[in-house]
Amino acid sequence: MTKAGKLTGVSLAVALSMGLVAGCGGNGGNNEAGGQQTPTSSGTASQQAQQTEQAKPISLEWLGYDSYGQPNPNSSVIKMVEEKFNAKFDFWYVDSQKWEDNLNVRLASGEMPDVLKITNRQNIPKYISQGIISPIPMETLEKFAPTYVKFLNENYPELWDGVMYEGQIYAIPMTNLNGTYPTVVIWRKDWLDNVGISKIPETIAEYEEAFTKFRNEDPDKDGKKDTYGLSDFALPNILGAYGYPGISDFKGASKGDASKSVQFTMKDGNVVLTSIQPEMKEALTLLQKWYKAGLIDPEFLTSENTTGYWADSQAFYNSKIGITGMSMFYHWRNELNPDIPDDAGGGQYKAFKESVPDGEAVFGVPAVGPNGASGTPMWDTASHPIAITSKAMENPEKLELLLKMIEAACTDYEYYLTLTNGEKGVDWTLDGDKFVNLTATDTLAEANVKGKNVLNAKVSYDPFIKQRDKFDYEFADKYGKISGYSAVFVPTLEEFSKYSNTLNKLTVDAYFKIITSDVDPSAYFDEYVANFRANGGDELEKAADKAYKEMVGQ
Amino acid sequence: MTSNRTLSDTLFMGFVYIGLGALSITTLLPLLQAITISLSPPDVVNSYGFHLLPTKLDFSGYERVFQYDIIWTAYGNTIMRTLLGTAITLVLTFLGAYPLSKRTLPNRKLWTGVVVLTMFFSGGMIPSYLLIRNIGIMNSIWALVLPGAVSAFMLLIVRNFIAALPESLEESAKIDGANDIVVLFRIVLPLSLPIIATVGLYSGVSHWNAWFDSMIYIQDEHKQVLQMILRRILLEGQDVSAESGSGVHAQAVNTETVKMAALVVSVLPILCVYPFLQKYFVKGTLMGSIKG
Amino acid sequence: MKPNALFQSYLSHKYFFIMLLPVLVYYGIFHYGPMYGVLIAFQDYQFLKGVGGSPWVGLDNFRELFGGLYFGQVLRNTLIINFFKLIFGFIAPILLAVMINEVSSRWFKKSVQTISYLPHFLSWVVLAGMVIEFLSPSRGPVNMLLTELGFDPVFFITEPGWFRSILVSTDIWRNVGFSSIIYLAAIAGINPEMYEASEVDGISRIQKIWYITIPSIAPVIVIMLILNSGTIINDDFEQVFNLLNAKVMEVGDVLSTYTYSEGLLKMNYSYAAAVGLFKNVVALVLVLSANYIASKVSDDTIF
Repeated sequence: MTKAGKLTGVSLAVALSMGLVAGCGGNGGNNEAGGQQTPTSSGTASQQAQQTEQAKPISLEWLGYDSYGQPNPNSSVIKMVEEKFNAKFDFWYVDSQKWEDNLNVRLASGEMPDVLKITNRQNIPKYISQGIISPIPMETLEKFAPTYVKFLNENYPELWDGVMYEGQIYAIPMTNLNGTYPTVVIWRKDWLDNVGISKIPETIAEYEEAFTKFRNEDPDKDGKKDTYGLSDFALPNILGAYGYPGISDFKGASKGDASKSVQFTMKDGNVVLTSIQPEMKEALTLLQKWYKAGLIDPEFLTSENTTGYWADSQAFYNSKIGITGMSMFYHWRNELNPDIPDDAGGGQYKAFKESVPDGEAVFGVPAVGPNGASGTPMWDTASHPIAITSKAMENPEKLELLLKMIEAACTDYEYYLTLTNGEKGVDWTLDGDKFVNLTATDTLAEANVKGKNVLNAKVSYDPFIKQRDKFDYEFADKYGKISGYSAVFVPTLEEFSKYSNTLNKLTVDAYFKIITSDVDPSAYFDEYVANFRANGGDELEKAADKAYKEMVGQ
Repeated sequence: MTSNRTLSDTLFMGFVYIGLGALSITTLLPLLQAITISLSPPDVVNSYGFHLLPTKLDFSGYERVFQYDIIWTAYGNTIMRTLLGTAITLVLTFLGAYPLSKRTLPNRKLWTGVVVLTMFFSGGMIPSYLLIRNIGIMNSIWALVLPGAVSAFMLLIVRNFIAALPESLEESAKIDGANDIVVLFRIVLPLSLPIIATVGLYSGVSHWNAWFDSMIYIQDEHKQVLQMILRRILLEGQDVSAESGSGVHAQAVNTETVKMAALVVSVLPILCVYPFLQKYFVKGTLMGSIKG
Repeated sequence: MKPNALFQSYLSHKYFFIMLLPVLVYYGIFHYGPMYGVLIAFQDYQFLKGVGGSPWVGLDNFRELFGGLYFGQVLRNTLIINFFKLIFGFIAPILLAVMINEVSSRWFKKSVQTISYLPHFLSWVVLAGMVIEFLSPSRGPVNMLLTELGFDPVFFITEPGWFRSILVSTDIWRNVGFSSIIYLAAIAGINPEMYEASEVDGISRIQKIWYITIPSIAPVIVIMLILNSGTIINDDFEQVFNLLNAKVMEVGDVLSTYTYSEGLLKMNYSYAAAVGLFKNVVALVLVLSANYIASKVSDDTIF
């Protein structure tokens, strides 16, 4: 407040002095006149610098956000930031659903923003070789954004790997707090009670017992044998009882998203591909047995999510299955926040309760397998990094400005709230310590239009987030700290783009075939592995191992 | 003989009515489902089975859709592009099709070939983008209506339609001293009304449904077309990747109710166009009117 | 034709060329102008260098496309699925138009026309969910009927033996009404005197359709068949993507879904351009062949 007031005062003074001397009211385009006049009308050197800046805002073409909606340049958030940093933002809008299509055509025709969000880290080498992004010296980072760099080094040191190329930093890593919590395990508690199981299942044997009873003992008490144990969302959890899940999202992988099945993990000090590990053979053998026994809903092939938001499980809402997963703690939050009137819990919990008012959904833990392994897949702890383009580097002030904005976002709590949640008093207020969201029903697109989540440059500063969403993260720490698997980040490989599509198809085919048909799991799995290795798997694995070891400096 | 004919006719007509009735029922279902969901609360939407008639009414979907003030601007933009685009398409398609329908036209195969080739070879997105920028129509309605103005496919169909019109009418007009342009307006155009209506409808519908060009060429939100806004609403939250990778968790996501309400709002107007054009598809009336 | 005679011919058709001019200008600017873009298929396209400066790689992009482990399977799926879509999807709208034309009740005619074209306006994102629900083994009406009749339910959408039929039939169902409009227009252009004459001969309705309606709209039918023959290589991405599942990959994965996931990973214009060029050359060959065959039996061809 006071800062803004001071700035307004200074700018008024400048405008006034220029108006008097140069005889013109505006201070927009005529910097030279402003520059000449300032010495006479100002005292100290620092004031002079400030005034010159004042006369000539730094302009930034901004694509450092998700662009779900097109920001209104006159929204109060944007105006506030422009004033604070004496900047002028031009927003690029790139449809978030067709990001690559839309962005590439503009880059290809020679247009470039100044600040660029990199939606897919795999593209960094491509951007570099095409001369689109420029390296950022560590000294500059440390000089202008010391708090943020410290935060990264202390909490997410691994993220630097993803933005390095040949020893240089090409983008500023951004973090994803939710990626530190594994995806959830949700049970129908009332079903467990109905079949006489009092303890939430923890081991594979207990899981199997529960599923068998769900199938055979009419847990929903409707007199019909129409219930199953699980569907596709809980499958990675089961695979996880044996080792790193070879497919982390069955629906995504079967729609051709190779990143859901071609993943890396460490084994005996080497980088290996997860889906061909021998543990998966055991896991698939078990799933085949379960499928034959009717524990798995046959319609897992078309997914338990049949409509709407991806985290919805209609099979779970319709009392067809007794376990679900894939989503985050905040989707299934089943404790109500006393500070929010009419709070109904997480979105999926709410949907569940609307469909089954008497049902009870509780958090469980991933199944522990015979060798003690367990875990659900985790989201990436990295979110989309922010890069500065080669065009912007022509004016070093632009990088400086970007870094200052990032630094401010993690040093000033209220400023951060304004960036992410909008105007104080309109979109949110503070009730003592408590953050009160007044426009919680804004969709991502509407939020962007109001200028929310636009100029924070994707900064997601954990201390501020935990302070803001205190209830949610306390809840998460209570129930969400289960064991999980997170993939090893491997630098971009030519081999990945060359083979991953074929490898994904091979994996999807093998996994689904073993689960749903009578093939001998062991023989079929071995055949799959041989096939996988012969068609690029080996090459990819070797390249990944080499690249990883080079990256960590072995 | 006569009774045989009547019997086979009756059987045939029975088949026709049953077939058409069955088709109508099945094609009506998806729209009914969309309308019902647009009027239903989440527990109905999430329950299994078809929802053809609303059991619980909930207007919140429509309330929400009408809160998006951008929808109305987008509506206007779409109507503008549909009208302007269809007009341009009709004029150009006709000007192209009529000469090419003349078998006496010199180098007719060559000129037809020039048109046909464009069906198969296109430069792709980048050169087109550069072109649009270089001729200065970026971010304007012209970028939406000009690039796709004449489809070779439609042009050839219109050409063949005209070529199949009775030659005698044109010849008699020519004997009366009318030149080619007069013949086009007095004779060919009125006889071609059914195909004009068809081209107009196809072109209008494709303009109404188009979004990709608008996504690429329009950068100003206030010039954006309806389908872009609709897509944004419809596809929101469909894919886990956006959320798992971006670190922003959706504070609120449009429900299926809102999505279907948006869909209904965007589809209804174009559905109403067809019945008005149907009079051009009534057998023989046009031919008769020319002669009379 | 001698040059002079040709010139004379142009001169006598001057009005026609005045009419043709705007269309030729249009094609020149908007189609032939950007056509140099096909060269990208033979380059390793670099954003900042453009078509002029990017390095040439010959047929590398095509080799990558044809060399994929699944390319053969995917191409075969594409051709089979689209061949059946072409055959049945071509006949259905003609049949529908003819049937609508026979109906005498005006309101019924109008209603059928309007209703049958509805699904065309709903995207596959919406329709696919309904198709899956409709065919669901546990709650879809089809399987409820089968169970009622004492059969075992069938999970149609995941049966390799059924999947292609589902693609073909739902495609027809969605587009038949919309595609029939063009034939309705053609039927509207038929000289009514022809039917009046036939009344005297006392022929049945089916004979009328066979001897008058169909031959009269043959010019439109033939050109539509020729032009559509190229679609055998062009599949409907939205439809296949939204209905595809793991069990039917080997019969259902088509060029567009296959190259879509490739393209997602690659950010590679050259590869995409190569795919496009390959498809278009195949389509051109198909259309020219169809045109050649049709020219043996009809005058209503492209050239």
